[in-house]
Amino acid sequence: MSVDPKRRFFLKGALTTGAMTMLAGAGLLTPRSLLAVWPKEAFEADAIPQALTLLLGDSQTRESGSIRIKLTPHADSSGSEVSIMVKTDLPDVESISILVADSPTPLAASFRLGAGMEGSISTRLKIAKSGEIIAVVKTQQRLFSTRKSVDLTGCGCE
Amino acid sequence: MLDKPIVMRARLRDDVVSVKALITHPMERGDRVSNDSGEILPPHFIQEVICETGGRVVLTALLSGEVARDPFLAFSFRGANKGDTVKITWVDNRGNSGSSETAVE
Repeated sequence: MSVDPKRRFFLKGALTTGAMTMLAGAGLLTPRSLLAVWPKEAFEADAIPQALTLLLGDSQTRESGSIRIKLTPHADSSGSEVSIMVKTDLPDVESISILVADSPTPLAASFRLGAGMEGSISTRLKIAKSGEIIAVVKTQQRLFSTRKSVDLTGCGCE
Repeated sequence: MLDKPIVMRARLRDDVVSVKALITHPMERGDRVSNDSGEILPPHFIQEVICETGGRVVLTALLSGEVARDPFLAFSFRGANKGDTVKITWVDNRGNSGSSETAVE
């Protein structure tokens, strides 16, 4: 997108949030910090190696005991949700990605860690069936992973 | 619904700022049938969330419709002090966006 940065800065300052949203919706203006491209192909990939290659440039992961996944299933009015925390003490972490093995499109979320970030991220996913959750940690060296099963039969979710 | 502020909190403890944020958003994956109309609800989900402080981006979250309704995020970082501003901005697949900020407490 070829918008003069000064002009964009002026627009950001001058417009109301509503107008900003309309412009963003029309593709005319993107918040300056949100210029990273959402990796559509990786999120639409139907196989884990393909999703990882498209997202991280590699699909070779090494099992690591330095990544922990904590899963807490909840019954929800519209199905089931699972709270997920991924924590790692690996050095030089660039990103943490979460994949749902049995999902038609396994890649659920990916978190790029900036300077100063601790190696921990928590979120909630919609998960319909018991199965495996995979966490992939990208360090400056390579990809590491660990996996954990989520059992939804006990919470009345499935 | 989309203009609701992000519920967020940033707390400093032992040099680490812990952030918790809850964004109001339907996070429709595109495969759910509406209870009202009986039709399939089109995809409508946040694709990207950015957390900034002190002029640097500490976290870029890339999300899919697999993330639960009203996305919750918790994470922590070093290098900020009490009173510093922490800002969170999101953009969804329709180009809607929202942003909120809070001071580290």
